[in-house]
Parts: sequence; C-alpha cells; structure tokens
Amino acid sequence: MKRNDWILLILLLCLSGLGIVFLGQRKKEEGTVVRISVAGKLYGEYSLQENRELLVETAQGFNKIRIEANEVSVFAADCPDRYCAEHAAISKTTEQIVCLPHRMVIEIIREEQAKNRQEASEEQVDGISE
Amino acid sequence: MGSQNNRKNKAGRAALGGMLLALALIFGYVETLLPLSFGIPGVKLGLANLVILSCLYVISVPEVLLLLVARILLSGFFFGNGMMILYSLAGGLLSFCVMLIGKKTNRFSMAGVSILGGVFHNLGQLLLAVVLVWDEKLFFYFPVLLLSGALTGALIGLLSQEILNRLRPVQ
Repeated sequence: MKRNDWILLILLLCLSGLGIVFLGQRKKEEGTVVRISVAGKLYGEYSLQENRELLVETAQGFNKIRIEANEVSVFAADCPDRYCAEHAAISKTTEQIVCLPHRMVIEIIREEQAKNRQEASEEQVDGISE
Repeated sequence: MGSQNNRKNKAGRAALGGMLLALALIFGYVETLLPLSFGIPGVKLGLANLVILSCLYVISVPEVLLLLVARILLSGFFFGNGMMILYSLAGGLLSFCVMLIGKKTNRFSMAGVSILGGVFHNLGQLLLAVVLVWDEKLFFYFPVLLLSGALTGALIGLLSQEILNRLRPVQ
C-alpha cells in the first residue's frame, strides 16, 4: 500500500469510529409503542405491553412479528436475506428492525409519538375506522 | 505475448470476457458460503469485486462495465430477486464510478482504489435503502458501513494486487 492509501484508510477509520461513538451517545429510552411502516407509509402502531403476533403482508412478501415480554421481534419472513428474522428482539427507542427486501421498518416509539394506535381487538385489514 | 494478440481480436476478447464473467459469478457464489458478515447485515467481503477491480487494470473500461452489469444481472437471476438486483446495481455502479475516478487520479494503489470502491458500494446501497424504505434513520447505520467498507476494501485491494503480481509473468 502506498502512503495515500494509508492516509485514506486511517481517515476513514477515524471518521467511522467517531460516528459510531457519537451515535452510541444517543439516549436509549424504553418505548411503549411498536410502529411498523412499509415503504415509508405507516402500517400500524401496537402496544409493546400486549403480547400478540402480527402478520404483515407487503407487496414483496410477508413478515411475522411477535410482541412478547415488552420486546418485539420478527420470527418468520419470506424475504431472501432473513436479516430481519435473525435480528435480536428490540425494546428501546433507538433500535429498529429493517427488512430491506420488503421495505418494512419496525421501530419503538414513546407513547406521545403514536399517531394511530391499533387496539388489540382491531385488525389492520379494515383500514381507517372511527 | 500470446494473450496480448488474443486481446486484440474479437473472439479472444469475448472468450476472455466470458471467462472473467464466470470467475466473478463463482466468487460471488463462494461469498455466500463464507459466513463472514459477523451477523451484521450489509457487511460482506466483496469477493466479486476482486475480479472487477483486477479487470480495471487489465481490460478496457467499457469491458469492465459490461462485466459488472452482466455479473449483477446473472447472479440476481440465479440466486436472488429483483430487489437484490436493484441493490447490487446501486452499490456496484457507484463503486465502479468512484474506483474509476480514484484510479485515474494516479494517487492511489490498488488498495486505495479498492477502499474507495468498498465504501461507495455500501453508500450506494444505503442511499437506495433510504429511498425505498423512506426512513432517514437508516443513516445512523452509515458509520458501521463506512468501517466495514474501508476494511474489506483494503483486504480485497491487497489480494487483487497480489493476484496481478503473480499473473503478470504468465501474460
């Protein structure tokens, strides 16, 4: 490796190290609501305290999501990479599970950020209800 | 000198291109067998770039571009799906352009060019992910991708250099 290569490598390592440390400082909070979005649109918001299983059907395929013991995880999916299913369960506001092939994001938010809570009895398919 | 003549005629170039394409495809496949991602999504060695990078120093630029696009389309149809082709194209094309620029400046050796390639490959895929998923919080993942792109890029660059050093006497 030439001198310039080393300079480039060290510069990038410092930059990424700084970024990782800086982003690690973000405040981790316990959230109470699970928000699921597909392709940038809100799919549904669910209480983190109520145990349940959800089937999220996207244009590209499905993800089966489990909310249990104040944690949410994906336990089955038909995406090619399965990164979402391998991801550990999340419970904090800075955490998210992303399924890139299905364009789906699961994140934890605080109670007051929730816009459109789904109660445990409701089903997602019937769209907007009073 | 034999290969020098071969590279000038069409049939020889087509044969060489086909061989390199097969090689790139195999490297891409071997990569899926190696569990080197450490459980971090998006982190991979980029073995297929070993072929693309080496070719940048051996065959003409349009030929490398053709090789790259053909590799992505074929491996996408063989092992992946439409979405995977899109991501591969976003990463591959951006990385290719930046490696080309990096090489043209003559400031870097293969390792430096490969580091640029690795970093911009990850950046290209991240940008596409942000557009498709429409969640700007994905950028929080950038430092990790920057780190992995730089390290795997350096490794691939050093390997390519070693391969070319050993292939040159054969030519």
